[in-house]
Amino acid sequence: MAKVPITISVNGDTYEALVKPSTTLLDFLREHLFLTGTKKGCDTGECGACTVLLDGRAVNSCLVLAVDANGGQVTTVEGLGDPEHPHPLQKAFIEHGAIQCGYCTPGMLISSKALLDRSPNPSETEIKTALAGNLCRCGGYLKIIEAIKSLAKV
Amino acid sequence: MNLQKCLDQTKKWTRFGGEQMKDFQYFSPGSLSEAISLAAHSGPEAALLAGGTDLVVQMKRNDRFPSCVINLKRISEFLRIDDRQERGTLIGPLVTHHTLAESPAIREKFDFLSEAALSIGTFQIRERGTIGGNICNGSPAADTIPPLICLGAKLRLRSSSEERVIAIEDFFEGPQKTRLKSDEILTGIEIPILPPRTRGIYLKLGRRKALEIAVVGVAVLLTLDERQMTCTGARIALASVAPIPLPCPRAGAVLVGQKMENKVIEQAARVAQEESVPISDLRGTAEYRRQMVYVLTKRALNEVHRKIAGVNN
Repeated sequence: MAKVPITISVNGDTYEALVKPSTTLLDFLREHLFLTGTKKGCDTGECGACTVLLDGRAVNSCLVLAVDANGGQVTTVEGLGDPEHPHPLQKAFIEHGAIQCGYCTPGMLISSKALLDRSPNPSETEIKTALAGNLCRCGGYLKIIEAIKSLAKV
Repeated sequence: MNLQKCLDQTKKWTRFGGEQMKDFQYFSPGSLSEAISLAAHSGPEAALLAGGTDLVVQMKRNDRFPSCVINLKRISEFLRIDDRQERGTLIGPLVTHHTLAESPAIREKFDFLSEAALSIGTFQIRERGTIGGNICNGSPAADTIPPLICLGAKLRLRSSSEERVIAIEDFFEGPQKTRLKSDEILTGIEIPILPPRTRGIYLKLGRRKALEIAVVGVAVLLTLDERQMTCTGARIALASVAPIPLPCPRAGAVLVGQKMENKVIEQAARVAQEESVPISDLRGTAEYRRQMVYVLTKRALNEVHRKIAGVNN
């Protein structure tokens, strides 16, 4: 089947690529761009490990076809910060020990960023609603919620 | 036999990235007319892509393997909510659940449709999933459909040869089966203007608050007279208790012309229970569902009665 040309901006860099229409945005990020910070968990939109920002909105990249993200702007966990310059959310997660095995963390961070972008001072209920689509199988939810709360602008 | 079925299903569901969805041709038309001619030429093998939260999963599970996918996202009028129509509100099929939940136009006029949209999936799913996709996927558990049935919503369907408008309750034939023809596209959802003192509610029963498919869903729309005593209009529709999203006209008829008293409300809830035809599945038994139709319909009628009385006092 014919590949389709796409142009996608990921973390500020523009990429032009030929992809099979059946390639998901998640596989495109991981297998084509080698941005493996975004994780594959259930691959069916339930666990949230693959959450990225697409045009500022938190989405499950496993449910988005790469061709459907053509022309879009994607932010992955790699775009938040790096070890020298961590994003305030990354700092807060580290300070609060909001990480256990770490597999859900990239998705948690991206969902949290989407939340704080639209609601800088979220209530606990808002935080829980925003993170309802991100599963942590270690069960480390409380510290994640505390980390986000610490950033809420009072 | 059942065990084998179960094992096959588990195998299907636990498939990780290794197996790919089948390849397909991809189109992303920039206008409705282009989309319609693509749909006309590609035939029954084509799939229309709205939010993709159902379709992409179905393709990954190989429940569907279209030879061609037509993405509707670039059709700009599909993303609009127009509440200044003479005959009511027109919702574009690609309006997302998140937008339905947040839009002031929808929240003011049809708050229970917003609540139903907010009860779907997760934040990420509501950002992608759309009202048109929810309708055309044809699930009897779809949360936006019972409120739309109560609201008397009509669907605009277009093909290259005709445009037709049908009532949403006539659109469904069975689980995942609708009357959408293979060359047709849902182009809009019309909601008529509601009479005064009309309010709705959607109650969804699940085992958890998020990422849940309704065990039972009950939508009620009620109109009261000026003294807020007597019911002058009532519509009830149910999710997850029949092969299709289920209108309950007999239950609604019990209420019309009656005072909103316990006896009448209980009678309407009993009739809704009779109209439901649930099955037992992994989310609940038929007996439990039938019982819950009674409980939730009664609760919904009481709450919506209070809502109308509260607003006008």
